[in-house]
Amino acid sequence: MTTSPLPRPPPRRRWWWLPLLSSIPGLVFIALPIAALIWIGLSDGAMRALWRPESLQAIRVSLGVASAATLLCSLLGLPIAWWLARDPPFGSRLVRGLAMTPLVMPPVVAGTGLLLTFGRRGILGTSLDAVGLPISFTAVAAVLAAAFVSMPLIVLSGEAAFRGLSVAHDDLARTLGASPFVRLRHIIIPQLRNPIIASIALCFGRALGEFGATITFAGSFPGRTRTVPLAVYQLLQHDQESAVALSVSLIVVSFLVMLISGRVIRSS
Amino acid sequence: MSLHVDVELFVGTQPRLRAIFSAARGDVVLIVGPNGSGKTTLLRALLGLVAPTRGEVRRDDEKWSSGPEILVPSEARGFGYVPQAPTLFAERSVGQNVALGGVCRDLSAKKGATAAREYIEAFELVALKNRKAADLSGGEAARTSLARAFASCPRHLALDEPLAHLSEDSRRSVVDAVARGLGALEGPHLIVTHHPAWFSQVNPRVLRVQKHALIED
Repeated sequence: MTTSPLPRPPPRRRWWWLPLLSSIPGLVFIALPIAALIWIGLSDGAMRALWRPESLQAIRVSLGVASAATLLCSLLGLPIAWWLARDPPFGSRLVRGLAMTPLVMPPVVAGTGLLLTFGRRGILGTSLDAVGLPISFTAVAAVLAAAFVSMPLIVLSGEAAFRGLSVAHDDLARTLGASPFVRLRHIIIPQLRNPIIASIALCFGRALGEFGATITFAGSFPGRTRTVPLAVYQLLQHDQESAVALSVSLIVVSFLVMLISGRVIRSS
Repeated sequence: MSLHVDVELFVGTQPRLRAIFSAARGDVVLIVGPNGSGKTTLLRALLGLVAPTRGEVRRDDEKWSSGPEILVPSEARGFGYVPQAPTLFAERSVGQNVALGGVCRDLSAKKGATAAREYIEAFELVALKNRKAADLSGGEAARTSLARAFASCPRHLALDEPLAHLSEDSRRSVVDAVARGLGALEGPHLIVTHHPAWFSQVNPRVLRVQKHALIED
């Protein structure tokens, strides 16, 4: 029984360059705008603009809103993902369709829907207003808007994570005497950890970029609901340099989220 | 301690298996029969992973299942199971996979580590201890799965074609290790196989599936 890995034969494909060549236009299309942003964004004026209180405030609001939205999505979305992954005998197609709708719905429409629900004259809004909990145009509204549009991502990728759980491994652990608690700790959580972290990172990324639903439902109030995307849009009208600087900061944050979640996943 | 089985099983959808036998402490029971005759399903019923259609399984006075009702769950039956497919955790090392036996049985850390070390040696896995299970050959994976079942310090073993992936010479040393290991456990033990002759050194009783019934040879 030899176990030393055999050297792989060199791939000899005749048209190996074709996939590469046909990928170039797409890569250029993605890379050019990013390069332009970074090029302008790294100029002196833009770097100075980034340290203005308004810019820092927008970054702070964005991080807070996206974190809260991600937490809310995890709490609300992962149970749905879990349920869908267990192939329920009824309703799964309807529920999956419903959970996916925010993904294909224009965010402005999503914001309108939230306004009709939680707004001052909305279905729930009137009673919330009556008990002194107005939601629309507050930071809570920004969180709800970001959570609404990010939900599909955590449901989709979460379902895949739960489906990845192996029944055979769980059965095996049971026969070896594992109690439900031992299985949760040593069999189930280790299998779920990485895919769930990945889906949470995906959700955070989407929440960070949310614009349409936020401006419709939460407005653009500095320090409360003006997230980076909203601030960028506002600034573009009169101060392009600051807008670009903020845009770059958002790219950096998204990139850091990817990097950190990748690190956490690899370190396990 | 003896095991009493009197069950009827659905295998897949149609053909049934009627199994009636008792096995006493120290017995090694070989279950032999054609493909698809329900040997694995019988094993899984004894393990509590599937419910029989009718009949009962008990150990001494403790009823494990009655009809389709499972009274004692898998985790409380004291088995070490080696399924047909090794079912290892691909991202964990051989050592971690073997140690999982003791973790599942909730052995003390010391006892678990001692048992893991003992069976890593017995199944000649010392050199592979740090290798990821994903990188094992079929035979190495089969030996790891065996070591894990033994390292869980079970009362009974249930082995489903444990030698199927092994080369001829490694088969001999594995049978030696299995025979030694079985001797140290209470039993009875059950082994599903197509080659009863391979296990002659454990002095087994052979039960054969014929025409949907399990009959003593």
